[in-house]
Order: sequence, then C-alpha cells, then structure tokens
Amino acid sequence: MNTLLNLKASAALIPEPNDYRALVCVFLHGGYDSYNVLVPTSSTEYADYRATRSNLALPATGTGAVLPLTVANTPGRTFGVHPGLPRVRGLFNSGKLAFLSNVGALVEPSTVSEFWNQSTNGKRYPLALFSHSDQTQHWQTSIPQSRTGIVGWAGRMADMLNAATNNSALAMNISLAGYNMMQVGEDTTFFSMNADGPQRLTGDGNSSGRFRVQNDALRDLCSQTHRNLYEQAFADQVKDSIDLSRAFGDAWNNSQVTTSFATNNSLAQNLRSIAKTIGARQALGVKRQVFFVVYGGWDHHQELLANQAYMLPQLDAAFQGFHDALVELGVWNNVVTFTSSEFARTLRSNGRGTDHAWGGNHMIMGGPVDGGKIYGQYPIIRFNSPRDIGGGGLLLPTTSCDEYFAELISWFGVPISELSTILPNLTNFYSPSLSARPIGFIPNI
Amino acid sequence: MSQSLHSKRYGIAIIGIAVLGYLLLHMLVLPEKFRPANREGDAPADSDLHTRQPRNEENPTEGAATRNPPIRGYDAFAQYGVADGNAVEDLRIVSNALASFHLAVKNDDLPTGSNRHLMDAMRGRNKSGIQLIRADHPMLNADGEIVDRWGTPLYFHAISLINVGVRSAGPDKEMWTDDDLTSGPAANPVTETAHHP
Repeated sequence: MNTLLNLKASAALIPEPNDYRALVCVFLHGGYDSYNVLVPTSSTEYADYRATRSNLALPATGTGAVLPLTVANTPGRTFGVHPGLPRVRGLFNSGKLAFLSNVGALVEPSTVSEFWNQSTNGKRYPLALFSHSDQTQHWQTSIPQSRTGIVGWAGRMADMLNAATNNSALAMNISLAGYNMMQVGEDTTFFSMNADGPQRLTGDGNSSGRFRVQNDALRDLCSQTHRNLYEQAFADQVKDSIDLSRAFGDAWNNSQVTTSFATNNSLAQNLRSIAKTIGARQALGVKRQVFFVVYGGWDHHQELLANQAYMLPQLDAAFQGFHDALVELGVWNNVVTFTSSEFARTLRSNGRGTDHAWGGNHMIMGGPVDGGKIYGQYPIIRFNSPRDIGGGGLLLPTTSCDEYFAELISWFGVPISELSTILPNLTNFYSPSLSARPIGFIPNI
Repeated sequence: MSQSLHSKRYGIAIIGIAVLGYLLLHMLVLPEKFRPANREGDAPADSDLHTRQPRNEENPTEGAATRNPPIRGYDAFAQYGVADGNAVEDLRIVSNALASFHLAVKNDDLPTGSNRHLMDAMRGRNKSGIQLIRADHPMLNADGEIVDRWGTPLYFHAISLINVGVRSAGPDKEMWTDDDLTSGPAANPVTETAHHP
C-alpha cells in the first residue's frame, strides 16, 4: 500500500514554490442541531419548520429571530441563520462562507423506501447509525461500512501527498485535539499540539525553564549509542521527537498574529494557534497541511435553545477571528475551513432538546469557496417528508461525506483520478471522469 | 372371539376418526388465539407489526393473557411490563435484551438509535431473522415502539454499537426531567469533548 501510494504521489500535484494550502476541520462533537443553525424562512417552509420543531423553533421576527441570509442560488427559497451567528451571516453574505445541506455518512445513494427494505434489496448503510462513536468514526474514515483495518481519509491523503509536497520532518496532519482517526494513515500519523503550541514530552508550553532542562536531559540520554537495535530505534525516535518539537516551538513562537481572539473561547484559541502555525509555514518547510480541532458538547438532548444560544456565538467569534487572522497573514485564499459532526439531530423536539439523527448542514469558509450559496439539497422540515426515515424526523442525507471531502481534497491537490483511492465509496456518488468537482463549492479544478 | 375382535377394530377406527375430526376442528374452527400464529422461524409480516396497543394504564395487565407460542430466538421481553415487576427492572430487561441481541446477531449489525428501529430489528427484521420480542407484545405501541409503564416510548441513547443507554420519561411522561429512569451513564448526553471512537 505504501509503495502504491508513493507511486501515485508522483502523479499528484507537486506544489509551486509559493503554493501553500491548508484544510482546517472543525469537528463539532456531540452531533450539532444544524436545523436551528440554517433555517428556512420562506412563508410555507417556515410554517412547516415552526410546526415541526414546535417549542424549539426560532422566531421569524422580533427578539431572537433568525438573521436573514442573502442566498445566491436558491430562487424562491429564503433562509436565515441562528441569531447567535451574526458574523457567520456577514461572512456568508459577503461570499466568504457557504453551507452544504443534508450531508452525512452514506455508502451509496438511497431512498427512504430502500432504507426500510435494506434486508431484502442489498443496499448498504453506515454501521450503527445514530451512535456517537460509530458515526464519528465514519465521518473520519469515510468508509462507514467497515470498522476494522481502516485509517482516516486525511491520513490516507498524507500517505499519498506528504513526501511530494512537504520538505519537512513535520507531519502533514496536525491535531489540536489529541488522537483522532481522521488523521491516522498507514504510514503517517499526526503531530499533536494545542492552543499554546506544541506538546512536549516533559511538559507543556515554554521552551525555557525546567521543562527545557528536562528535555535536554532526556535528549542526552537518547543520544547515547545502544547495542540493542530496538533500544537504538526507540532512542532515535524520542530524540527526533524532541528536536521536532523544539524546532516547531521556535517557529511557532516567532510567528506573529496580531488579530485579537477571544481569550475565554477554546475554539478561538485553537484557531489562533493554527493561524500562528500557518504563519510559520515557510520556517517549517511545509506546503500542505491539514488541521483538526474539536469544539465539543453539542449532544443537546436537553436545553437545546439555551445551549445553542451560548455555544454558537463562541463559534461565530472564532470563525470571524480566524478569517481576520488569515487575511492578516495573506493566506485567506490558501485555507479552507469546514465543519463536521457525527450526525445532525431529529426535527422533533423531545420536549427540551433533540435526539440523534443523520444528515445535517455544514459550513465551509475560505477564499477558494464560492460562498453566499447553499449547496446540496436543503430538505423540507416536515415529518414524513421525502427524506424523513421516521422516528421523529431523521433525515436521510442527500449528499455523502465522500462528495464533501472529495471537493476539499481535490482542491488540496489530490488529482481527480486519485480521489477514489482516498475515498473508496466516492464512485457510488460521483464519476471522477467528470470535469467538475462533485458539489461545486470550490469551483475551479 | 371373532366378534370381540371386530368390535375392537370398530372401536379403534372410531377413536381414530374422532382424533382426526378434532384436529380438523382445531385447524378450522377454534379461535385464532389457540392456534400458532406463525410457523416457528417465520419473521413477522409487516401487517403483523404495530397492530397492538400498549397496555391500558387503567388496566396494566391487559394483554398478558393473549401471548402467542414461542418465537424464533427467545422471549427476552417476557417479563417486561408485567404487573409484579417494576420500571427499574424493565430497563434492566431492555439492556439485557440489547446485549443478547448484539451477541446473537454476530455478523449483522444491531441498529442503534431510534426506538422503532431497534424494536423492528428485535421483532425479526434482521438478516438472521432472530426475534427477541413478540410482534404482539402489549408494551409495543401503534408505531412499533416499546413504551414504559406510563405509556411513553423509551429513548435509546447510542454511545456506540455496544453501549446503548436506555431512558424512561418516568411518571411525569416528560423526557429529560428529574424523574427520568435510566439504565446507567450511557443514557446521559455526551458532555466531554471526546472525539474519537
């Protein structure tokens, strides 16, 4: 597999000297209720929304009303966003951010009827639908029909592209949330950091003080020659890790971002750390990077309205700050930020919140994005609508994660002909022979 | 001697005819509830599902006497909702049934999430055809959902395939309130920022 991917890397795009590109995945863990984030406001559709969501429906007018969007590609249909997202609304209306509707994990296209007759029609579906951990894994591997022997889609991409695109010991994938499956490859893994920079073996943060003494001591130990090959290999690994962490830390510390980020906002602080890392790209010798950050706590079975009223403004401020920082660094056109979440939530209120469902709406932000548009198919917010599989408004996705990710990794540098190597189920939804990307939110190939 | 032998033969013939007649009567005339509803091993037909109303709150034992003969699998819900049980024990029964189903349907996948999906699977809509609950269980409502002793459908909170919490709305019939009954921590929302399986 390694040889195969390396061979394929030779066919991949080898970046020009100043061609830097980064993907930033903001994973909204818990399953965020995206049908109160992007809300239909046309009279008939809003009436359906209002009746269906009952006590959880946002008002169309007055205090706490949805903020109207100027949507360029939904003639006859109007939409708004949650009142906690005024900056996201501004980014959308200025063409810098787009929504993708009713996207979720799928193995192949399906109708509701086919879903309910899957035991006889042979259609395949994601394993353990509506389960947190399984659906998280599916979003991160994009192989939802399997649980074993698989790695993440960004990991597979790093296996293919890293050697050809990055002249650095630093991994292409960088996580600000510890372990995640998305960034694990067969031959590559991720570099772990946090809002304060790189994580170190003997301590966090500062490159001076007692942690530096501890690191120096450990490095000296590992610099000894060992007779046993395994001991030598382990010592080399640890020493390389210390050196890489130190080099990364120095570059990160020297990277200046003056944009202000909210200090009591974990997502904002993580995005600031990513911005500083992007600012250090030349010192680090990298041209392709994938960042993974988690903003969790969206499992809103209860107090949905209050929780979203608190959490969405945090996301709103973080996105605006990240936008401003990327503009400051001159890389707005080189970075695409996108949201993921293991599933969306039921249309039906359980009285205080909503429960696990399937397809939902996501945000894509960046200079390369043809923003101000809603891509995919925004569903009818009504029980027993054509995409409702029942059980309280669980919407069968109309766009697969594979199409979503294919659009992103195609822009990132994976040739169209190699997309299905990274996303094996993609050809169930999209023909790589087409000259256009699967969805179109990043229009130019 | 010969007449006696003849009499015996007549007697045996009469008894045989009587037995055959009884069996014929049993098949054609006796009430439906005294006949096997399905050949053993048959999965329930769609028309069999969702036809029974849940136990009447004023008469909580209604329906208990009309249960059918054995199903394919085992009747994991036999004691669910019985008059001498209790709501906590009911949740334990459901949790055990989930665990049993996961073990029994090894190469299939136990659907997770909605009550209806789970109960459909447990009624036999799975590749193995294994049933753990009767299609006419009195605690299934018209939508095919298993309900608690107060008539509210249970909620299944799927952390993972094999870690599914069960929640009853309790006496107030409102989910996610203080009187809810739960099968354990998995029944609560995910609050940590864990992001990997």
